Amino acid sequence: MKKSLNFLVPFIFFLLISCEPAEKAPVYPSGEGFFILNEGNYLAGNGSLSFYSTATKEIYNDLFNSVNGRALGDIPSFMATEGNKGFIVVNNSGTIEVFDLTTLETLGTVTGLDSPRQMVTREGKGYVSSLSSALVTIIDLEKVQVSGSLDTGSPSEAMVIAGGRLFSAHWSGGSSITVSDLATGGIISTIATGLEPESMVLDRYGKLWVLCTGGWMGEEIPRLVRINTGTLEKEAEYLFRTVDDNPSSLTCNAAGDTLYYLDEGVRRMPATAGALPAEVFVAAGNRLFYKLMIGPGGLIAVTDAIDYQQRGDLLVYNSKGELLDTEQAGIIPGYMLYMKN
Amino acid sequence: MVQRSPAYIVPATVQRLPLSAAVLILFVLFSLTARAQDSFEEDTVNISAITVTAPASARLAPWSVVRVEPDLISRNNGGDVASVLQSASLLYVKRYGNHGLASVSVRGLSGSHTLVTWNGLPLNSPGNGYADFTIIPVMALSSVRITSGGADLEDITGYIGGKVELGSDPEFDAGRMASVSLNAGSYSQYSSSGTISFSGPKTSIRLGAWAGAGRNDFRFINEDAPGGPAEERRSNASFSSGGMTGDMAYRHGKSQISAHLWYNDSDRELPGPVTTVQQDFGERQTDRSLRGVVKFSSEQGKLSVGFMTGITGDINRYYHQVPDYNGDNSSVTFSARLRMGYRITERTLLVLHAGEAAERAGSMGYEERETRNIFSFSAGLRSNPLPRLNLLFQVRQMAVSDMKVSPEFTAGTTWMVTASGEHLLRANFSRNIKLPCFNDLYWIPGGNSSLVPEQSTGGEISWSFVTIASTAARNTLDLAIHASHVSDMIQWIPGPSAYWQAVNLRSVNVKGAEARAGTERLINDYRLSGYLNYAFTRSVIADSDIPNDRSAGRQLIYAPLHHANLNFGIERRWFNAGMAAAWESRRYTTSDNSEWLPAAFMTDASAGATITSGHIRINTELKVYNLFNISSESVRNYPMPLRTVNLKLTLTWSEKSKDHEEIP
Repeated sequence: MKKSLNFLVPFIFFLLISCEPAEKAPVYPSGEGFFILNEGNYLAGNGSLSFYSTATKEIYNDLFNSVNGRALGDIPSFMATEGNKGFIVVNNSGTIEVFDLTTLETLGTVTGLDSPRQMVTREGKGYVSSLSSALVTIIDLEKVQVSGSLDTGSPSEAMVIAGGRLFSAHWSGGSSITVSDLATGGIISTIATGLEPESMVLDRYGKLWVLCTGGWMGEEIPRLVRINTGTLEKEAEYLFRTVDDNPSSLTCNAAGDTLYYLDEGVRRMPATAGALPAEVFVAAGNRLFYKLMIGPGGLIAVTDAIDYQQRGDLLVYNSKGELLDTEQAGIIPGYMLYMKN
Repeated sequence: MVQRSPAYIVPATVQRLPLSAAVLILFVLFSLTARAQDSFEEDTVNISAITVTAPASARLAPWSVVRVEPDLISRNNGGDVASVLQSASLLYVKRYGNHGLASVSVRGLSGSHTLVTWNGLPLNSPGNGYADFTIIPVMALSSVRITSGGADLEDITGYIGGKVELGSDPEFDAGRMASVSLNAGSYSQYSSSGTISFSGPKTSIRLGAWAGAGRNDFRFINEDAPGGPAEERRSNASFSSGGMTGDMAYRHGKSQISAHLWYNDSDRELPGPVTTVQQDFGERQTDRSLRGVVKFSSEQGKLSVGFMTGITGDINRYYHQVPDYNGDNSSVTFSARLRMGYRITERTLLVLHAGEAAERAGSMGYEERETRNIFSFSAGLRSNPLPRLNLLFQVRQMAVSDMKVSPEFTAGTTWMVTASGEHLLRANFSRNIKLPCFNDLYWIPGGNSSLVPEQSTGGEISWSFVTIASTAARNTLDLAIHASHVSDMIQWIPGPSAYWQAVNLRSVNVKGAEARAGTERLINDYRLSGYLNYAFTRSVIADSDIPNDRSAGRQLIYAPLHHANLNFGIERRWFNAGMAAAWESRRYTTSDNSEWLPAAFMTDASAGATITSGHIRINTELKVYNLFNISSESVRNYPMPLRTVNLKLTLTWSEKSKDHEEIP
């Protein structure tokens, strides 16, 4: 009997070891790369998450669904990170999906948001803009729940935090930037810009650059506005060529010294430039560029949604504007976020 | 109904209970005064042919025309037309969930390519080109006729995919009749309807009303639930609807005039996709419409004349918890159509049509109320130079405000293979067009006023077989193959400003084969019927002006390659039972066919009993939808219910018995 027990002990031990949950293999490779949010079709709820590895030069699609067994939602429009957590703003689902950046496993879902658009983070809090509400929702990033709101006086899209202040752009039908004090929640100032400030970015010199599309009916000539985040004064304003120009997706490199945007392709300009670039850096050719991202070393990634009813393309260029790779992403590949290991 | 903030509730939904009560009281009074007259025979066998056949005259048309059996329509009078068409025709119904928006497409094209008429009056919205079949109650109809393809050029304007003609045809010499129907179903779905009719040899009057509502929080399988597929309940999907119809007709000799009125009112919540948590954003839609038609027809010697004039007014409102998102759309369409037929010789008939449609629509997406006039003239020559041969040649020219439209034509023939007409061969070749809708032209942003009409060129060959035996047995078989090329398809794509715009950019090749087989027979006391419909439709994008487009050669989205349904019915004395099964193959949801909905198989079953006593007849029916509890979606992430049941009770008083019908 004792012999039998002796025999059983290692067997049971082996069984216990065997039953331990095996460490899950990551669904995308380690190393640098960037996430791509595929918006999916409006009301279809088929948004998805992709990752492009700059190491393997391959794209990994439908990651969120693969890991969590469910779709991401309807129109994932923006992504932010805090520590090892990823936050995907799902616009038409009114949610924020929170997940582990390593395993991509869900950590929770913030629900009940009113047309959330973008998100910036600071000191354990997430600030979420809204296309339809004048309130910026505050998320407790640790508890993954709504903890408050900030009244910016108008719906908002792009946001930047600088010097303890939240700069929120009133995009849809608007023409201003609201500056809010994050400590008190009060509005400090409202800065007039051009019509429909679509995107904005903070350069290394502390200047806020705002790209205004001029309105969807071409009401005025688009413009690029530079704002001093200290004085909150408009310092410079660069007009585009005509009301028919359609610039979008203003961003900058990691060093913050070069601005990039889409306008008949990819254009770039030093943050110290005194005029808009006359030449296209990467011509769109027969592509219709949709979104733009700049990675380390001048890496350029743009998406092409083709007919918006099929899987779109991701195009990756080097700092010289030479095409490095073309990959097929999900449906309507949009916002991209670079991740360093 | 769910509770709603009063801020975005319009208190118009339900003055329908009083409506139902009025109908019920009217019925009771009417039936009491008319009791104790003729009685039904106790051993009457009721005929309830289920599915689609073509009337004799339509068989001679060189294109496929089928008619949904009136009994099937009357047996579904608690439901909507979409359900009837899905289970008993070759049409594909695309539904945003139970009681959600539904469109019907023919031969692989979209719902906006299907012309829908009611007593000849077009119902398609000038705004988006669609007709929502969910809010067309079966109650408002007595006939449904389906024409596949756009070869029939007798309408004011064409729709290239096909045509669904809804009618509330007068019935003469049927005496007085009244009926009340009550329905109760799963998930708090209730409806009631009532009709009264008076008809003599020359006059016919019919009044009807209905009302219904449901919480509609049905069970479904959420394939995207965290942790894998899970059973959930739909939320924010309640509905209510109601309406009234009135039909009057007078005939004298070979002349007939009729007037038809239809008021419809519906209020639906609009639930979102179920891929994430179901949330309530207060989205709902109300649709109100008032339609009126006057028709006249006469035949004198070699001349026949027909005239139809009507008007339809629709108000569609969309509500969201954020009032800025609310939508307000309205449209009015006035239509008038004149038909003249003149028999030139014994073997040749000239048919002329002239029509005018004045469309007016307003939307928050338009700069102003938009209007359009469409005048069209068509001429057709029908001839049978040989006893078994029929030839048809039609041309139509439209004159449309601010748009250049090329002429359309159809050439067709039918050949009676056998002298009795049991076997018939049909063929046609046609070029027809569909005009852009107002949203395509005027929506801001993206509307494109320089769009040209979509054009379809193609043809069809079919063989039709029917036998009707003296024993009332009937066998039918129809086989058709068709092919067409649609160019200048309109699609919304993002423009350089990232706002979407409508452009003519794709062409589509459609080819397919269709089969319809049916049998009805009487065996002892049992009346059996069985019908099978099958369609193979390959509708692929032939080419595209979009750079790097991978959709060329791919099947259009939401156009199943295979669609089939089977209906079976049995009746004996007071008992009847039936089963309807519909199968649709994979439906792609992306234009490169990289994603799709799996094949769907739905089976409904019903059993009922009819008790007659004097002039009173009581019908009860228990119907089980989705008998096998199969999870399915018609539109991606808008699930259809798992198994549901419905109980219907119909009380009918009739001055004359109608239960002794012969199979036509």
